[in-house]
Amino acid sequence: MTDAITIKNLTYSYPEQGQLFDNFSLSIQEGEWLSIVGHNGSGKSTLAKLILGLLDFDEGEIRVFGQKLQLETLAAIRSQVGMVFQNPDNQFVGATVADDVAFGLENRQVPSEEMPAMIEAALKQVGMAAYADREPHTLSGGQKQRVALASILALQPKVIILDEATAMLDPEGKQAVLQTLKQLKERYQSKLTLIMITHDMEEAALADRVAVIDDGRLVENEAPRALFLKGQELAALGLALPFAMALQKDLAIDQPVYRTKQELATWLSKLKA
Amino acid sequence: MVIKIEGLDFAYGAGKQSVPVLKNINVTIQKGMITAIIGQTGSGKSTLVQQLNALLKPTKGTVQIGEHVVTNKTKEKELAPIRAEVGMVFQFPESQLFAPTVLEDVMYGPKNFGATDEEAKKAAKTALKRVGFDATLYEQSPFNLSGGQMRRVALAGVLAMNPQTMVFDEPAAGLDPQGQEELLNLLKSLRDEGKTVVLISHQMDQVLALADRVLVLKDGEIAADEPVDQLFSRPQSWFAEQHLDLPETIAFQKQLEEKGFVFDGLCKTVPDLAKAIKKQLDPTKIQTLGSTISENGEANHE
Ligand SMILES: Nc1ncnc2c1ncn2[C@@H]1O[C@H](COP(=O)(O)OP(=O)(O)OP(=O)(O)O)[C@@H](O)[C@H]1O
Ligand SMILES: Nc1ncnc2c1ncn2[C@@H]1O[C@H](COP(=O)(O)OP(=O)(O)OP(=O)(O)O)[C@@H](O)[C@H]1O
Ligand SMILES: [Mg+2]
Ligand SMILES: [Mg+2]
Repeated sequence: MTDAITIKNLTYSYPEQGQLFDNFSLSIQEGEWLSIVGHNGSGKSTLAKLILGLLDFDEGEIRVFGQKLQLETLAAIRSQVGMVFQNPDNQFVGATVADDVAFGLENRQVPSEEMPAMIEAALKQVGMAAYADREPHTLSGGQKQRVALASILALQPKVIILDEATAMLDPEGKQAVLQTLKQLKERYQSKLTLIMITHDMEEAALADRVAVIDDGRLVENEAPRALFLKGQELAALGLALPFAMALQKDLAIDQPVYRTKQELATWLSKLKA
Repeated sequence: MVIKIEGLDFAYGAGKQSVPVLKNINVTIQKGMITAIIGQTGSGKSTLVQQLNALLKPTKGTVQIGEHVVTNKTKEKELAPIRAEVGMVFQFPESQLFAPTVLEDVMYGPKNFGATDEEAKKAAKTALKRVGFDATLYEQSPFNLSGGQMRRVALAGVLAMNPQTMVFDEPAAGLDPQGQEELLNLLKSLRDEGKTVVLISHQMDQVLALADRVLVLKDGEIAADEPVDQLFSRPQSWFAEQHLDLPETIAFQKQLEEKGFVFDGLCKTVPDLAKAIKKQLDPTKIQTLGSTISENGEANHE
């Protein structure tokens, strides 16, 4: 197995604040779906920006598909990694929604005759095709997030980093995005690596692995089925349990076993008087 | 203070460029209650709440905010007192941060309404503490913060002004689970203090736990305006039509009802739901099956 991203002994501090990352290491395999969770200010967005080379780390190394992140490789690495930012307003560059999607494609030298179809497909994928001519700043919160996602999907990057990219979506929109991601994972298999930063534990539980960050330290790093059995430890980290696990904890009738909502409903029906 | 909206239409822009958004809205926001506004992306929630403190003026109809009546013709200078009475936390907190430091940012509101430096600082610190903002970051620029930290500063900014009515547009977005729990308690305590709270949220569990009354918007029109229990007693199919979900507890309750469980009333919290389920389980089955359940919820028959 090759790593999509390898972070080794990373050290970083913002000039204005104390040390954030001190000797931080984490690797993400090619084709893996990783969730990153952790309390506010724990360093998740900073880590994502470091991977994209938007911030310069002090020590250590970051590799993307084996290639060491440095000035000379920055462009090559950025063409492989697409990131949807926590605030979509920070991501918009185009005068219209369509321009915004086009911008990234132009940067990757997509032939201009291929662009309209690609733009339309990406906007359709997030249900925003009807808004192609709108100015991004006049969109509603959820519409902005959809467009921000479309701009990244259009580029078909090998690694997608989503920084709380569903936080403003309505329940249906959130399901649609997660469905889209699942389909992309199925289609591209090991060719697509997904990193999802989220506070939504249901969403985090969809991943192959969940990394928990606490003040710049990697404190948990395992499959959701194992992680969400640790009720006490998670609460101490300021985290919550997915709904089914929270309910099961309150039921307190068997050894902890990881169950999804569906699994829990099936099991309870077997125990019914 | 009651806010009364009558016959309101609203469109962005004018003439050929005009985008109609809100249609024939008639609602009353009661004082001392938590009113939640829910609805699909783009249904007009943020547009509607901006009428509540006259950031947007109606295209047609009236908005009565306490003693002030706002119409299309109301002059800008008449709106200033309304802003002091109705505070607003925007959907994207960055859009309301501006001062060089966190503390100054939160002090701005009170100072603007006549507080001394000393008073403003005290109000700011109290507010920041109330939203769980890390005291070591008071002198930081509000722009050098994480998403959830910015959200807390924006929340504190409105709390420090202490307006009678407070509007929160997706306040939980970006907050970690503990922060969301704290927010819930904060909004409840504001109601207990007699404040009028308006909450936009996509998180139905939050709405269920907090709201007294719920407005549902669909394509710019009011699709429902009723007490929270009445709303969530509607069938799942109705929520699907609005492109909305039921809260997790209620959705799970319905799922179990299909499997023969019986509940009287809505279970609003996870502990309540657990209690109601446990009553219906067979203790001997728990004994025999309880600890030998495999991961997929099937019993292991060895
Ligand atoms: N531009 C900046 N300058 C200085 N400090 C910053 C900057 N951005 C973030 N920080 C600080 O670095 C720490 C980590 O911030 P980061 O944005 O990575 O957190 P996060 O885990 O993404 O949090 P959230 O869940 O709130 O988005 C925080 O204490 C924050 O105040
Ligand atoms: N400045 C503007 N000019 C033109 N149209 C706008 C403007 N602002 C919002 N709209 C449109 O008005 C409609 C309602 O937007 P609004 O922001 O009120 O929705 P919302 O219910 O808050 O959605 P969300 O849940 O996504 O935040 C949307 O279709 C949006 O595109
Ligand atoms: Mg962040
Ligand atoms: Mg909105």
